[in-house]
Amino acid sequence: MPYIYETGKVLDDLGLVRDNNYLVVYIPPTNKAFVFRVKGRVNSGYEVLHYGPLPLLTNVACTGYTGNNLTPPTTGVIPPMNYCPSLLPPPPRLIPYPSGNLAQFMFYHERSEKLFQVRMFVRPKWLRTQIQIPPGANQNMFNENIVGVDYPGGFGRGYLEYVVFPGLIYGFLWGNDMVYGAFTSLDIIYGEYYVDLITDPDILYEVLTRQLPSAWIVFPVVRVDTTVNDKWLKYYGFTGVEVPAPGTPKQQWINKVRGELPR
Amino acid sequence: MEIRELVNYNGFVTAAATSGTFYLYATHMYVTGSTPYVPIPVLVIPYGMKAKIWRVQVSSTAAVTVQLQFSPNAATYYTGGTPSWATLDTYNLASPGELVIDYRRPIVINSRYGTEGIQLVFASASSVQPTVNVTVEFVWGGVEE
Repeated sequence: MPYIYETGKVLDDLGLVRDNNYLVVYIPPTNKAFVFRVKGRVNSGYEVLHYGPLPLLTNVACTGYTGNNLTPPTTGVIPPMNYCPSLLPPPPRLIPYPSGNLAQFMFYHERSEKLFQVRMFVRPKWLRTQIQIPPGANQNMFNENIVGVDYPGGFGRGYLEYVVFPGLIYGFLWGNDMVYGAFTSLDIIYGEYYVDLITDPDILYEVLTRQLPSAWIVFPVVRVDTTVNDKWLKYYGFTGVEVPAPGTPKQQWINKVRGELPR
Repeated sequence: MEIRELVNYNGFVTAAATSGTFYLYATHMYVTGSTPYVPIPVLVIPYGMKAKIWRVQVSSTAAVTVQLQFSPNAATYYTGGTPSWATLDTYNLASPGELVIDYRRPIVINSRYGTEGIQLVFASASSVQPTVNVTVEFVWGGVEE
């Protein structure tokens, strides 16, 4: 798994956080993190979801790697040598009539005590994958340069993993650099967690210095969009707590971050 | 993260002939019959990936010789160019029937430039309509392999 690590036995066989464990979401561009305690998994026992074809609609404008811009010929088919944007609405067989933001992003929610951890497996597995938070904001970078599926570097193939914060919609880019159009499919392993946001500086220090076991997942962004920042402030009251540098005395760190934490 | 995708391509020809190139089809391939959604005669390996050819099966109602060919500039086929082909392996079916080559060690093709690819061609003394099946494993991210 590229994005999530654990200290201690925190993850289960599906790569999801076990109940009653800490989950750290690290934000690289700000060197901050949110720490949650996973109280329970709502979807325990049905974590695997077959999404079906990727939500590539026939009205989507794709971009050709060699200049031949195409559109998906039918829903769920990615044209050859093209990359296409998409949102992630709920699959038709999952929720009957989604509306509003939920119709754009199946993991959209507005509850600060809820968090999704999502692992996406795309087929064919060679499809280039890229996440955009929010939609349209590329979050892949090489050495200070924004890159993406339209570049040889700066993308993954066949896999994405991320957490979903409240109030946010994520977008995606899918690239097919094969010479033929392909039917696509998406399988998802997800955890719908009820969480406690940890704001106690003592526990935060213990977790962030790895004295308490936790799962550590990197939020896949290279810059924090103002939309994201605003939602963090709205739902959590702060934008994360600074991760202590190795060797930082506890009291010194607490004195530094106390003012940033919500009361 | 390393990914692997195993694909079985069925190669066919549209009419009996004494020589020709196989069109490749796979179940995940979207085909309508109109360009670009047609079976492909040339399989180009995506940039940075490697293709491992694990198995080739040739089937024919008459003797036929099939060749697996490689080109470093196979992608030019799709831009109006003419790739230069080199033969990687030859499969001689001496009489009606089928021939299965299950490689103990696969033929590995690295896509260094994103232009490398393969094709399968056949030749026969009489007019035939053979088929081939090729099992290809696409690998990406396995940099130490």
